[in-house]
Amino acid sequence: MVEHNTVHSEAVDNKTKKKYRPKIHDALSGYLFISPFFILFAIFGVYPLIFTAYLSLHKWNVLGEREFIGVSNYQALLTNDPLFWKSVGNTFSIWVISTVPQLILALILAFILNQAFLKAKGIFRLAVFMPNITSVVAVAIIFSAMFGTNYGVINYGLTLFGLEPYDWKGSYLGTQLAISAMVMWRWVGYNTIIYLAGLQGISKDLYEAATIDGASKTQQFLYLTIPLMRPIILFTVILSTIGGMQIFAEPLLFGRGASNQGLTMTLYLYEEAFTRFSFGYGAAIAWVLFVIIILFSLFNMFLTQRIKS
Amino acid sequence: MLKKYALSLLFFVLFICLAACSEDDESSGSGDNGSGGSGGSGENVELTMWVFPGMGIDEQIERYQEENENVTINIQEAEYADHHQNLLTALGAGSGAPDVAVVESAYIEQFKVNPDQFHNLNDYGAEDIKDDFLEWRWREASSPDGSFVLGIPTDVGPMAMAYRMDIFEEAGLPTDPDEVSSQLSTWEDYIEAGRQIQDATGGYMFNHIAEIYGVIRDQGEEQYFDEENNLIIEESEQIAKAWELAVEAIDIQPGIERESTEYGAALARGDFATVFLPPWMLQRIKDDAPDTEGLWNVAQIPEASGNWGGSLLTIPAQSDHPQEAYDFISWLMAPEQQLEIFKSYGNFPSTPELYDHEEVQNYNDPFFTRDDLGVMFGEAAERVEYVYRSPDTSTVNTIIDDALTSIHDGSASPEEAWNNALEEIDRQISR
Repeated sequence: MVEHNTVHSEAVDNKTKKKYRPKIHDALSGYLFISPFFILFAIFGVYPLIFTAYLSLHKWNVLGEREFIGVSNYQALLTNDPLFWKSVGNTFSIWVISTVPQLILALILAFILNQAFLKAKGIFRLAVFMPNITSVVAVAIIFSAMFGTNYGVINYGLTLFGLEPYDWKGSYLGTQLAISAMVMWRWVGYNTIIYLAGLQGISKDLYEAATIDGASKTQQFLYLTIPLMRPIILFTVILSTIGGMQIFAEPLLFGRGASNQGLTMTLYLYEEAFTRFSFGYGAAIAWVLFVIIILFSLFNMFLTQRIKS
Repeated sequence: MLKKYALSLLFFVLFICLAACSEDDESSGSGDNGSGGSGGSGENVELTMWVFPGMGIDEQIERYQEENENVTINIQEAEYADHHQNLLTALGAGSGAPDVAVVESAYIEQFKVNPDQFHNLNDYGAEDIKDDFLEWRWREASSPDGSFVLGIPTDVGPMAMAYRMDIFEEAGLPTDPDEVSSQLSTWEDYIEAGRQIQDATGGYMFNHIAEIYGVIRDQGEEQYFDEENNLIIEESEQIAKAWELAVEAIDIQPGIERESTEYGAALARGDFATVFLPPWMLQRIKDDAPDTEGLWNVAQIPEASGNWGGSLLTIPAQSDHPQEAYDFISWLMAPEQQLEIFKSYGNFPSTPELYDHEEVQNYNDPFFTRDDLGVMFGEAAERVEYVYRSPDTSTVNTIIDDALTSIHDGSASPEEAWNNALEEIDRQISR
């Protein structure tokens, strides 16, 4: 019996050894190694996505019954919800107000940080990046105090120059500027570091040649740096687009304003679901938002391709 | 081959785990309700309790555990907003809810309309202790017909009016609380006094237009919805009155919200002469404006009082030990324990028999001049009107507050603001 067993197992071993092919084996362990990401992504990414789509067809307040109402959430959202379209408009205007100066400033800062004459580069680089790792909540609270209408330091500064104090929280432009200022403060340094990495990838020879040809620093920046940096600039534009569509904590803490002048798309989604408990409607907003972001990204890609060619 | 099996097994196990998590508790939650009936009979029980900071109940819970050795209370604390979010999620998911959960008054309505999620405390003897508590508070904790009781009330926040005696004096107004109460007995008087202060000192009467609206709104029994949850905002007399008075008072307020960072600075500088507050907010004035000690006094609010804050102790239906949990929370909020909590933390009791207790009667604070603060807040608590609220009440409140603020901002006329608000209310409550 014993003998028979060993023989049998040997036969099995031989069989498996014959069938053993390194490629399959490697592929299998490869899949196993990368599986944690896909398992987590399936649980925390794909499943919520699908469940949100399912929810958006219902009326649901979390605790009660889910009531199927078909596409009426989408219908209401697209035809009878001025607040939603206002939030879309706000998101884009805040995105423009914060991103355009932010990227220009970051590029200039990176150019300066990359200069040979600058001493103690490490400290400057650290200093420039610091705001990015501060808690957004702390930033928003400090900025809210600074932009206070009655006792804010910025209005105090304005009065020193003989200007009227500005109603930051009660006016359209004021609220959007304040929110954009917070976004800028946090992200200028981040983009600066990315640009700096890009700048260091540009060969010094080019600059030397330009210097020999008699190009000034400004000319070098405009005709050498910017064209060579184009792919990196496009990368940061796309990153800030993604970030800009998701602005949330800043208006939440600063206050969206009585006329909803600071209401962004994600904040609207949050309020709908978590303060008004209309989870079905909130889910519908999430999906429309998803479509808007896809459209915008496609537009971005189209633009990028045009610029590249 | 073996690896492939192992892999699919791994997936399978993971899948089952996930699926089981959601199934498991649902079935056990509904079946075990009766088992705790003989509660407190020596069997060891561990109760989880979810709270948010500032409840002031830790010492009493310690005592309960000492007196009932078979009961262990496991307290888990989270910040106010997180706490309620967690509770909502746990109830919605059907698992993970504690045996005892605190529900703050702002969230009561949302939970009350879903009685299936909670044990009805009437089933465990809440009927017997009903009369210990303020009537309006108990009604807020119950369904409209009283058959379902969501939770046992903790403290209450009866509203009074703190005022700056120095500013009142400068404007030629009385400074003695009784005289203030009699001269400012209606809201028209109050606004008139505000104008007087503005003329005499250039200062304001109160902080924000939405605040006076809220105080007047809460003085009427009927607000936005009737008990069938039909929207009656356009018929409600109290709402019309609150709106009109708030709009009228727009020039005697600087538009500084209580949550804003500027509020403390404004308070310290004496920008406004009156503050509507529950007892727990007295401390905030002391923190924000320590130099104003002795300048304040406290009187009753014109016409009626109101309530701000306080919580309920509830037992989610997922709890397997409702009887033990009920025994614990009814003990914790019994008058004797509320008195201890009041002594240590100043949380104002919801059991009116304590208002005659010397501890409450003698409650005072030199910062606010008068030496019978306890008596006054006790009277305020008895003056509170029961108000019917629906789960949508807070949604409507936000819209109306925004509308009033937009008048202050100058971005809408009162008529525009009102009409826009009504449109937005219709949209939001239909979702």
